[in-house]
Amino acid sequence: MGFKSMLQQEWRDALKDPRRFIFLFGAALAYLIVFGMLYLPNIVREIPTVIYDADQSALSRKIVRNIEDSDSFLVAGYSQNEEDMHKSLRNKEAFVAIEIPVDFSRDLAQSGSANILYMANGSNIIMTNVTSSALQNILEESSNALGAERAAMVTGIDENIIKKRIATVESRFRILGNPTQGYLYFFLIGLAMAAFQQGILFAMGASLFQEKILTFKKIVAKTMFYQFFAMLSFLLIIALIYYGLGIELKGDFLLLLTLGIAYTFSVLGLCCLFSVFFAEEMQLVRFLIMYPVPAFILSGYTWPQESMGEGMAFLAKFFPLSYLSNNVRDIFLMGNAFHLINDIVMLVILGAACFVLRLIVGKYSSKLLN
Amino acid sequence: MKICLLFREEIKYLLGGKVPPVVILITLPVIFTALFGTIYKENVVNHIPLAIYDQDQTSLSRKLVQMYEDAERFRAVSYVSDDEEMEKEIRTGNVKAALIIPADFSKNIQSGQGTNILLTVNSANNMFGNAALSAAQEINRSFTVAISEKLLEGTGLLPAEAVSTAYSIRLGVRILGNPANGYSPFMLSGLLLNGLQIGIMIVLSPYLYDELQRRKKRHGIGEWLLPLVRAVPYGLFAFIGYCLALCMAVNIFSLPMRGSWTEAMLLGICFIIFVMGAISLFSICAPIRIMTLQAPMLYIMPGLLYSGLSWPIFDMSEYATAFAFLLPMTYAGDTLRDILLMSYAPSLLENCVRMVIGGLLAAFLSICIFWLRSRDDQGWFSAGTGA
Repeated sequence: MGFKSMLQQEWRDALKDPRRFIFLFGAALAYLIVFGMLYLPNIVREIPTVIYDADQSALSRKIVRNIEDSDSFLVAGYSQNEEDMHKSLRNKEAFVAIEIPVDFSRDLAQSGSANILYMANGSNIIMTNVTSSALQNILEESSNALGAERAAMVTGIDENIIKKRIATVESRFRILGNPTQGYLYFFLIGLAMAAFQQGILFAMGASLFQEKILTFKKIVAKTMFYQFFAMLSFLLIIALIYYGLGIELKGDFLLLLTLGIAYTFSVLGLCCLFSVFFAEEMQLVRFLIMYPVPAFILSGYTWPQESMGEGMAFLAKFFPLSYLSNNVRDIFLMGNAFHLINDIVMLVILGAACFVLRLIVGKYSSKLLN
Repeated sequence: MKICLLFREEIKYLLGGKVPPVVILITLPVIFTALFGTIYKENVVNHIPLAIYDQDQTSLSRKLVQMYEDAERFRAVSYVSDDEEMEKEIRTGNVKAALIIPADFSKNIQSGQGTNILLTVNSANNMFGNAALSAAQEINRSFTVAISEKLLEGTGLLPAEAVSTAYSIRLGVRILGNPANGYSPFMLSGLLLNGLQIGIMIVLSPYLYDELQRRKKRHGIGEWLLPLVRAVPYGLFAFIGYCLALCMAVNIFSLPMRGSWTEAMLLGICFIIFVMGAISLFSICAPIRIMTLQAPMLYIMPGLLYSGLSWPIFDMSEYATAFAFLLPMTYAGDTLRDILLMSYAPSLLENCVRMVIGGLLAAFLSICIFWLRSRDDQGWFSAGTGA
């Protein structure tokens, strides 16, 4: 049977088993919709907060107003005492509690400094990070203004001059790639790539197990077939990310395409290799279901590989997703991906190695499965 | 007696085969805990590669540089001498952040004009961005307060007055449950549950479908009872896996257990009931055997991120919240973490009740569909012959 006939046969088989195209094109689309819905707000804000203002002075009320005006906080209640405040935190009516102690203004007037207590439910570090930094910024302003006012009275020097001595070093930040640090930009691309990977694995897996005898020629034909359609799917995903989610592609489209080709080749090789260890599609699918979560975490897309330890970082090198998701995100958000050529080469090597191993192991596969 | 026979049959199946299904049920949550516990061992993102561009080169600027070098959060890997070199370091990925101290930094501070410092961060990965920004803010604040004290003393203020003027309103911080803001306490318990639900899905998914295929074999027991009875051993082994994984998380990966083990066990049981009920529903609705595994993926896989463990539920859109309420992880994820870290989960009882109701409802629906399909002589709902 020639290649052309094999490809035509593959086309007919794929039409008879609609799962293949559904997985190939639908998996990433489904994830983009499902997680697009989740991360649409983009940044976490309006975190339920309880305030206990024991001071009830003009200054404490001004601080409370500043907190109320902040996007990061949603004042869920005002406690009358500490016990109430702790109870709100304990019952998760609020995730943050801010206590302005009694004699706050008096201490400021007399000794020049006073404390405000910030308490947070630290189980969710996203909320802790957002609120602690927001509160620091709010208090810094008030603190500097108060300090300047007081020092001006004592020294007789102009308040503005004193302010410059207090806030003498201003911090400025230039945030590249994801200036708002939004989750839509951070997460969605990687999740779509993870789903894309599953789509390829399921589709190719279904095709491989359809054959009673799998020759080298058939493997090549199937790889070519699914490489083509996987690339169409990849283009569709890129288009959805660009047009649907409005994430600008700052980098080179051709580089992205090349990365996609190398990646799909690698994943198809991986699927061929995996399939040799299982007697039927059901067993392969069971294994493939265990695969995506470790692959996603090991890819370093969220928790960076630099922080994983050497052993895990080394293990991550064997997962194709490790070479894809970060690069796609960087090409979109940063305009280029570090070590991209290196990663493309690694994907091709990984894919080729998988195909070669498949051929070698395939010869002994009946013994293996017995 | 017949029930005992069924139990024995099911346990024999779970313990049999080249790779007994019970191995997946028990080991998958353990493997997930071990794998992710190891990955998150460092707990916080540290040693962020940093480029330093000190245009001032005075003792004051070097003091600031020293503070960044001493900070565990950063690792100064490169000292650049111009903008182009700095941009190149960021562009090539050699560094994730760059600190720029302008020329006249020291002169402007000492003259009282004030100055600024710039931190450029590659925040394509929010982990680096958040860690770098929060650490930089702390370092800069400490540096600014120290310098301000000296400047204010120069205006005639006494040292004690200068200190309190430089930092009038102080923030006392108390972070409950996870004081180090660590990633392991934040995510590990959720990943453990994720592994558990995936293990249940892998092993349990085809069971009702297979039962339907065997419907000609009657055991003399009401058909409504069959799936329930057969499911019990799965639940039992899943619970063993859950307990082992939780013990591992607490004893090996130092996840605190500030709450009660009894509450954690109860939560686990209710979670297993819900997951099993939901999986049974997918199982009995699948047209072919393989779809019993593939169809639930869109339901089970988003569970971790939809659970409120990371992205809080109060900040989800209405549609997202509605979807989240259908997922078992939503009720178990945050609750287990509360038991572990906060010693108390205010919604424990409520969530347990919801999970049990959800699981029983799903099980009831699946039994109804099972009954319909098993009586379907016309083949309207019959199972296909897929693998």
